[in-house]
Amino acid sequence: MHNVPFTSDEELLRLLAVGDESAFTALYRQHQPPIYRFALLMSGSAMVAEDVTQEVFLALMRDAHRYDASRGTLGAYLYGIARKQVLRSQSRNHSHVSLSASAADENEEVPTLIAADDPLHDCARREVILRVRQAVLALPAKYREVVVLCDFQELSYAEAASALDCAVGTVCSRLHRGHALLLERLRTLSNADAPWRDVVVRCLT
Amino acid sequence: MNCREFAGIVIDLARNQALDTTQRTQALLHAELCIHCAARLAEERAWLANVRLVAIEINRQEAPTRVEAALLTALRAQRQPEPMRKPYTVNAAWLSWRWAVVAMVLLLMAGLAGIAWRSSNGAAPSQEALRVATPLPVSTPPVFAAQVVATPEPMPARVKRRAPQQREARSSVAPSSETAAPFYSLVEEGQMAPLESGRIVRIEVPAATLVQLGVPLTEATLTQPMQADLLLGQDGLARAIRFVPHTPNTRTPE
Ligand SMILES: [Zn+2]
Repeated sequence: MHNVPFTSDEELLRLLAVGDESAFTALYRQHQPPIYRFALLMSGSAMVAEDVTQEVFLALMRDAHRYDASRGTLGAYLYGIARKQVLRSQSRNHSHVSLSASAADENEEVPTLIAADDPLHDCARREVILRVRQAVLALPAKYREVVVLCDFQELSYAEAASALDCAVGTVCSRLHRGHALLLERLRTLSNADAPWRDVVVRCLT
Repeated sequence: MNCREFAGIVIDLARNQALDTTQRTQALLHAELCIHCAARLAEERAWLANVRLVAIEINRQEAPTRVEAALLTALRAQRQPEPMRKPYTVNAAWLSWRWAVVAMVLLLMAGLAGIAWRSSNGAAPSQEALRVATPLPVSTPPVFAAQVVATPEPMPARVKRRAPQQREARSSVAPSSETAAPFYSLVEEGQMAPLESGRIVRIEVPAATLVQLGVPLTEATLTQPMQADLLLGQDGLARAIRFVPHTPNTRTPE
């Protein structure tokens, strides 16, 4: 086993290719969180996010040689695999596309969402979070992935273009279109009879 | 700067990134003068604030530790030397041999059913076909009756046409009863390949056999030989059966 605290991704991949466990662990711990969050935001399901994360790193383990550093960062490469996995998973199970009450429940396992001192403030925050995530999940996939990468994961346009294997101009135009759809959707969701209010009511009990 | 140019950079302006000082100053000036663009900028800024709220929540989440454990197990398995994988190869060979046997048996059954068809081409009722092809002599509930009733008619090309006068005679005695009688499934759902094409063979069987196959009959008819339509699938296996009301001159199809 090697100690690999400050090794570059390329070096870690080289070690991984010969089966070095600590190299894999280092790569996994560095890149897993953003990949998991990307899949979570894209699918609205913790279960799908977990499956996608596993598939992405299995693919890396199997085909580490496929990564070409000249085409972008390893992070962007892994986002590219994750994106395909999410789309595949959603074509298999279409119900994960929308953030339903059950999908919201799935994320209730996060204890930080339950505020002990100010439940009303917490519910208002939760209301906003649900509205935003619901609006993102309602986007067509090609806009959703750009919004998740550029807005939530804070990738540059060039990094997002590398992850999505498209031109920077395409990323920009999809981001603009995605925002237009999101803002329109959020205006609609602001209506008093929005379905997410059910979830808020349950939060107060 | 006009509204169109402003719309092209409003996201970067809200994020305060990717714009040079001149562009940024011009855009902000435009927003001061244009209510529409000022509102758009405010919306973008509100959106970004919401995104940060979600990001704070999301950034606490990671894949469960079991994922890393499972991946490390997979990595170790991948590193196993070649001899460790040998049993796998043996297993695969045994599996393919088993599949070959299954395929041969199926082919044999289809062939026998085909022979049974040909030999039954005429007045003789194809008891043999029933014996050879019926895989399930159990009283299966008529779960597929609705689907099966609809399927025989779309495949008339392989079903022998009856003479017009025969049809008329029959309909005058038992109007539409023959076509209305439901088929009773002889197989469980998923047990066979979906029905793509088929053939209906008219047979004469003891009433007790029909009862065994799940066709409900009255006590009065139990002692008589009954006519029935047997639906054979594209593989030659019997899929369903229906009771044909006993009427004169309807013994067998032409
Ligand atoms: Zn304007």
